[in-house]
Amino acid sequence: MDAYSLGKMTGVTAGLLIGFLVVAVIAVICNKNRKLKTQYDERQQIARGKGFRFGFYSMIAWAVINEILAFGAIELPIEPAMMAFSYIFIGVATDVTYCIFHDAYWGLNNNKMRYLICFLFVAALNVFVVIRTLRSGELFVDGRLGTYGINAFCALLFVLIGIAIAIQMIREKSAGKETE
Amino acid sequence: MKNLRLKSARAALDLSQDELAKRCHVSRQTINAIEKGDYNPTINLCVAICKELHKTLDDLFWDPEEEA
Repeated sequence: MDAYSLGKMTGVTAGLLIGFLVVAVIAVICNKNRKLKTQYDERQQIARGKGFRFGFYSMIAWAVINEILAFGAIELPIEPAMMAFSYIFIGVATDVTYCIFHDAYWGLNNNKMRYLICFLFVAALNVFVVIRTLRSGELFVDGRLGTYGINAFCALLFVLIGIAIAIQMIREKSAGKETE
Repeated sequence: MKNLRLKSARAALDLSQDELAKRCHVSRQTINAIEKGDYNPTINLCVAICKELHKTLDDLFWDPEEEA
């Protein structure tokens, strides 16, 4: 392993660890009771279980698709290191959108507004990095999605979450008029 | 099947779905799903709802038509 690869590996690992720490801090700040753990009721827990299941199935489906493409010698324009993030993205995106559409995303102790502000900030930050690296030519290395693909996946995920939340809010608004 | 007895018991106490949900420590959507018949609550939640609405389990969750 050369010094460049070692540095890159250390950088990504450190970035992920800092990311986890930031997520934990955001969770404490954004929860009404200032606790790290989000509370869900019994219906939400069942829906979240289904969300995890569909997330897992979608990861398997993506693995099978990649396997078929590999047999056909078709290469996706993504670096192998970024391919792992594509699996995470597919799984998390499926789980999160399922939970949002089944009212199981927001916990009982979540402050939605604070979370949405954080999401907006994270999405904007990642979109900024994607645009900057796209302009400088660092996003794609030899025609393949490089290390900054992490930011591309994050940006895509948060934009997707934003769209799903907006759709669900509209659906709830129209359904609320009938129920209350 | 819609649970209209729950809805009317809640309305009789002038409670919104959100207020009942907060008292029972569940989300508003869960109360809505129970009223619409989209979700079958556990016995623990049924008891919590009954206590808040001052009703018995029979009053809110027993269907005499199904008994026959």
